[in-house]
Amino acid sequence: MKFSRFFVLFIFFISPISMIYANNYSIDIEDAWIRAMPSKAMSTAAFMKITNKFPNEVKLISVDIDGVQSVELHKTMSDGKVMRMVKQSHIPLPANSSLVLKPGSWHIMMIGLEKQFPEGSVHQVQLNFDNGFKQNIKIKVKKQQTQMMHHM
Amino acid sequence: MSLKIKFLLPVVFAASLISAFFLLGNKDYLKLERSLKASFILFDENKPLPKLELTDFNNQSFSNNNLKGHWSIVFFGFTFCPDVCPTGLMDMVKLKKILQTKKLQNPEIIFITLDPNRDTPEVLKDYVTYFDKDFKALTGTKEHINQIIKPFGTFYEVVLNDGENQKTVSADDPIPSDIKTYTLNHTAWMYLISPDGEIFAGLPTPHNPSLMAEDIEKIFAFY
Repeated sequence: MKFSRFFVLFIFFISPISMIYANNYSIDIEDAWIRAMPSKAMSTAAFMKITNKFPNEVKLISVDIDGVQSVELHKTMSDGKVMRMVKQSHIPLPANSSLVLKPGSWHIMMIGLEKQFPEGSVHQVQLNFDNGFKQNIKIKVKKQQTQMMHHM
Repeated sequence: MSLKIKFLLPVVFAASLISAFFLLGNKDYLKLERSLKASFILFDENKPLPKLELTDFNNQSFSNNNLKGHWSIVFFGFTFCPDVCPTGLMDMVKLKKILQTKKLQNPEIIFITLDPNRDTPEVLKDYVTYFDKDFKALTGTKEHINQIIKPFGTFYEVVLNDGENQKTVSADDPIPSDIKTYTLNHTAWMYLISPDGEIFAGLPTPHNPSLMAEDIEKIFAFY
């Protein structure tokens, strides 16, 4: 019995998940907001600042949000004139750095809204990364970004 | 009065009229354009706005006459758009506030859909009035919209999405009825329409409401 208990502990410490917690590596989310849209709108988008505290690049590969038919990772790009919203397979997050998802740039597009996302409501969102790390956050619906204005 | 003077008077009168036309009528657009920070003068008397046959969000017809007698800002987009179009409309909300503090008249903000297939008058009304109760929106037939965007220099293409793959087709191509979703890639310039109902200036992306307001103030003073 004693041996198997040590074995379980041993497995726990060598598993990648324990490595994450043992080293305080994480991916932090700040200033997250979902854009408030009119009641008949069929889509909206989520924006946030993502800080990768891992010593290696991590990819955001998917996002789960209840009440949305499909969630896609997008980047709005402009060739100087035409704005193209291009679907991305992932959002790359270089080691020890931050990326801001914001209007006119990277964003999480929410397509096919099955429930209302009224201004002021709060929604549970899970971000899934390619290294197995998951981050659960609550995001408030706002008409526009407010907290980050002073950074601009 | 001598015959000489009798003959000269109309000549002098005509000459002064012509010079007055060049001095007052032919304003210095170049000088104005050089002073602008966020816009370009697009006014060209040889390129009048085409005939508009559109419908507003109350199902009322909208023609060129509806643009006359006041300034307007026209901008093309689609309500399915989650990023560029709401950002543009929020910029218009900010611009309106700045113009109010400057005690300048507010141009009428008019959103014209590039996606009449999904953007019915009801959807458009719900959409634009959410941002500001005074904003207006127009729709029309796809063929008509594809024609009227040309003198504005507005361009769009359709991105068909069947869930797995994306395929880009031209604005004139029909949208297959079995397609899951589609979005539009489009130019997002805004256009300042003069009280004569003609395109006066273009405001390119990214929009900066403060600089736009400064330019609009100069254009109003010039006009």
